[in-house]
Amino acid sequence: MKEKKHQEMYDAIVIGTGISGGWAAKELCEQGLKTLVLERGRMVEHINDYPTAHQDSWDFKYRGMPTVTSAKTQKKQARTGYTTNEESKHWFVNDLKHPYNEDKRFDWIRGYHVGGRSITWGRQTLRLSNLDFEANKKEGIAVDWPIRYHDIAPWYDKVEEFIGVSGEKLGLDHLPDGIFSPPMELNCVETAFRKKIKNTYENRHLIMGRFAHLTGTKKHEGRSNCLFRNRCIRGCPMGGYFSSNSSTLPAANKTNNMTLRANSIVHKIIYDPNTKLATGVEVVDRLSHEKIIFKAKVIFCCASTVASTAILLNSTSPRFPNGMGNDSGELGHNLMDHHFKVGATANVDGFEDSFYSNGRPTSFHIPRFRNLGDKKSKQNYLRGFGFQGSASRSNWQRAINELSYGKDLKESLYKPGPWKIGMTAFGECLPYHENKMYLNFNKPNEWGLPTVTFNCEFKENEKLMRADIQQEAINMFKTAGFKNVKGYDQPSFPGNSIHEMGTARMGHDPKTSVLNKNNQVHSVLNVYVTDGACMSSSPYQNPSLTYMALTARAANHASKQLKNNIF
Amino acid sequence: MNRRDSLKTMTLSMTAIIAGPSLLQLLSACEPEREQLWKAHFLNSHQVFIVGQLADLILPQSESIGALDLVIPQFIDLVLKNVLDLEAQEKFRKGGLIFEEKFKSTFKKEASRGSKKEFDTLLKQYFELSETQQASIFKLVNSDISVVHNRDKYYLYSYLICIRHYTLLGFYSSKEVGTTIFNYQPVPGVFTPCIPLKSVGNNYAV
Repeated sequence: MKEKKHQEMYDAIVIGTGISGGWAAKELCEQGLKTLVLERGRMVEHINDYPTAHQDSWDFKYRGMPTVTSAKTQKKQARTGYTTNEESKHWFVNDLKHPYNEDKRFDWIRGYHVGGRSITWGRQTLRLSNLDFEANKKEGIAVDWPIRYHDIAPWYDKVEEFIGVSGEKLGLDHLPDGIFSPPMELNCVETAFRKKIKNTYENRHLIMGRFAHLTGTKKHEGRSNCLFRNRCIRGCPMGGYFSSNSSTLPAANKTNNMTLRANSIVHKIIYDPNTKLATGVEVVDRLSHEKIIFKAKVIFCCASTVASTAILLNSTSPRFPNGMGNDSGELGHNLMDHHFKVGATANVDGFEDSFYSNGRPTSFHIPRFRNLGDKKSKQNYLRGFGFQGSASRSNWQRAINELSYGKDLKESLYKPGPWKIGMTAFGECLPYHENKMYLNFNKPNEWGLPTVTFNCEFKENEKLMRADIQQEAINMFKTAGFKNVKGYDQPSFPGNSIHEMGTARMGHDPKTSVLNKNNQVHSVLNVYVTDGACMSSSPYQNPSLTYMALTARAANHASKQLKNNIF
Repeated sequence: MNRRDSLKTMTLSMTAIIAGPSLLQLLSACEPEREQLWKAHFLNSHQVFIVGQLADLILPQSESIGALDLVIPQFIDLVLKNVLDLEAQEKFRKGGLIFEEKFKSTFKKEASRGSKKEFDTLLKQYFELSETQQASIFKLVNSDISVVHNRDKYYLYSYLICIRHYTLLGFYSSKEVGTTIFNYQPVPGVFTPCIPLKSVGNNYAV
């Protein structure tokens, strides 16, 4: 295959257009850097390319269900149970075309298109705290985070201001408040549950979750407030929630400094042993299979945790025989994801005459209340979890698991059913060196590139935490007086909560970590990794806000380095 | 015109526009030899008749439209052909044969010649169960076939529950029910957390 060299020298290359890549593009372009943004998948233009956004249930031929033909191509993507329905299947990859390997089950849920998973993310936007940044050091686990809350706090501010976060301030040290627009509201049952918790528990709080949805009066260019359509996973033509497509990429584009190239699979970062810097990237065009080299002074890896790590592992050279920046041997290791699908459900009596208006796309949140550093909250496991849940009146689907039939059934199902409440926890997973991903060169993909193999599992600490989660969910529902309280603990496999992280961790020491405190590869300082790969631990909070803040911080660092001619 | 009135009139007016084929389907349901106005891709004409009878019993026409008004057997046929995998299709076929045998042994005639009353008699026998019995039925059909002793019961209930499930799905997620019976609010605009149920009436379209 002929190799083409692109002559233009960019200031920066950003690999990936998801939640991190969009922020890198925006910040670098706004700093005046000529930036090439490479996306391995197809183009997706905001508003124009959300094909199901305005469809109703009856517009889907199979009322949402994937066909057998479609299901065959997305067997692994379907492991979430919701991603491959008719409304959103086009946002998730074809597993046959994009295979991976599992020594142990790992649910690698991917979206290969401009915007990546920022179109389909859960939108929960929570800050980390010093409880999280200090935990590894205090407990002697893995490596110390090289940053603390004060390092990232201004960047959380910056990101929240731009993306728009609706939420409620709580004043907790371990879940710092941010810059919020008015929160969405709790319904009658959730409000009653909140009061019960407040009156019963000293250190537990129920709040409306903090979500990247626009509410209030602040203007965000090209976007409008959330209209409560609750069809977020399809892409929001109004930009009611934050995505790269609606927000950061348009901001980058506005500067005229961005060149966005879709269908560009980056598989290697080129290293110059003389300068000890990267000089560019090697790309395979997804459609033509043509190989192209692009050059730049600084490279941002924002391809997603696993993809960025795979690129680094594949970037071998005499200096880096085991992958770029892998002097520590930690590249690909310490793979983490939140464990979840554990909690409780219950019926709620006493609100039969109450209802709510349609379409709230958000849920309540109970922040972490275990292992907060005091004796009382200390458990027989490390770290903690937070609950997310909602109360609602059931719809016609309440009749699926019964056998009634006839006129009365038909007409009763027109009405809202009884109130139900449920919550699940997202729990922290410790960084275990042996939980890893690695490249399999014997099983190349369609483009001749090595595929990824996973070997990762939840261990004893996570199992102990899950037992506590279930019991506490049951206890809280019973305390609230709810009926028919049932705990559950469904199988939860790494990857399934789509918060994979940790495979190129930050740390103080090049001997034990891949990235420094600025998200630079220790040994190749003009390569930054700012997606989930950089995480030194996996605090229970949904991680996207932290990726965005770290990316903005790193992009501004890189810009200063360039302006000072350090690269 | 209130919602209820509109439903009553709609049932009649829709016959020409939406439910036209379903009326003929009803006729054809009485006479399986008669040509369908929609072409089944999975079910044969006898099975179309049986599925039609069952769907009509599960969600019958009353003051508001029923399953046959929306040609739900056509939807079920589509699902059976394109959504169910080979294993689920085979399970459905086996269950259908057992149902037909039960019908024949009970009424001494082919199910494809059965009356609505006869289908109702049989369905009552299978569906009118206590909550505990229903729970054990769902446990049975969710079991791995390799550990099931009473396989006839397993296949029979898998078949009946499949028809019931897709009848409900096809009906309640339809445009007609979504826009004329449920509250259809594709763009609510605001969220109000607590309102009196009586101010809403029926549930929201999903």
